[in-house]
Amino acid sequence: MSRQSLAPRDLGLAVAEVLEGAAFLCADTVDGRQVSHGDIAAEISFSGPRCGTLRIATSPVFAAVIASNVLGEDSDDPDEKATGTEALHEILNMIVGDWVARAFGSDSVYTLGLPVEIGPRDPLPGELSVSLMADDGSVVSVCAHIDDP
Amino acid sequence: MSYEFLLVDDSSITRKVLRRTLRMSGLEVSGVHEAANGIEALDVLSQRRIDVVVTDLNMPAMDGVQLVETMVSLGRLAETAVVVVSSDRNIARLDHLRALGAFRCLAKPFRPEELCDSVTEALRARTGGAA
Repeated sequence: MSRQSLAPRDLGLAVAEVLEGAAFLCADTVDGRQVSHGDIAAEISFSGPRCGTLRIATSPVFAAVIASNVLGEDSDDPDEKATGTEALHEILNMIVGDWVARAFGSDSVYTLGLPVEIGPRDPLPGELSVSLMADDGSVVSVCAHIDDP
Repeated sequence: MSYEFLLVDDSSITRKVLRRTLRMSGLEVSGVHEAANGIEALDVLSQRRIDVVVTDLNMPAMDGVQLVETMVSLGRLAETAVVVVSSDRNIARLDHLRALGAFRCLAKPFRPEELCDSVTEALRARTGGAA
């Protein structure tokens, strides 16, 4: 599969469907949003016929909202940032599974890594990148890096 | 009849969601145990009777495929139903798990009713319709 055939639309759909399915959050794609240095970010690897990583970044506040929605309870967590980070990791885990199936097909055998916390950074040239804005104006950015064959 | 569950996932958030879903399922739940990977799950399985294992696949130390394979080698699937809940959508891997005896494979994010139906059907299949 060529890099040119990987559509940002597939990545955007994967993010939107996971946010809605797991956290009951509606979000639409937006253009041109840069990752904020105050964001929390995570990365997960995938390997198979194509290898690479998927990164996610959002604000700590929105990560806490995601956690609260996933858990279905108001946040009274004394360690809200850690819970938000863990929720972001789980959301990324769901997104990579959904997106790999969309982008490469469910017949291709892929091994998914484990989410790890990273520092936020903007997409590099050539990376597939989407940003989605939720109803409250919060933005989630997801970026796919495909290793060269 | 009440049932013992083992929830296996490296995400504590997902384990909480699974626990809450089971609590709201209407099933008679006598106990819910948790493990963060396959090794911890096997430890729990060695200590007590478990009716249903709900397991993720992508976990550190021992993943869900290795867990189910080990349960098969130990003869545990005759008494314990397995439902897989994972982000992994690879058809070959999920077919392998079903061939091993996993009752159902659900994709994350799952709907609560999907999990409840799967667990109920797994218990019914295991007990010959008594669940």
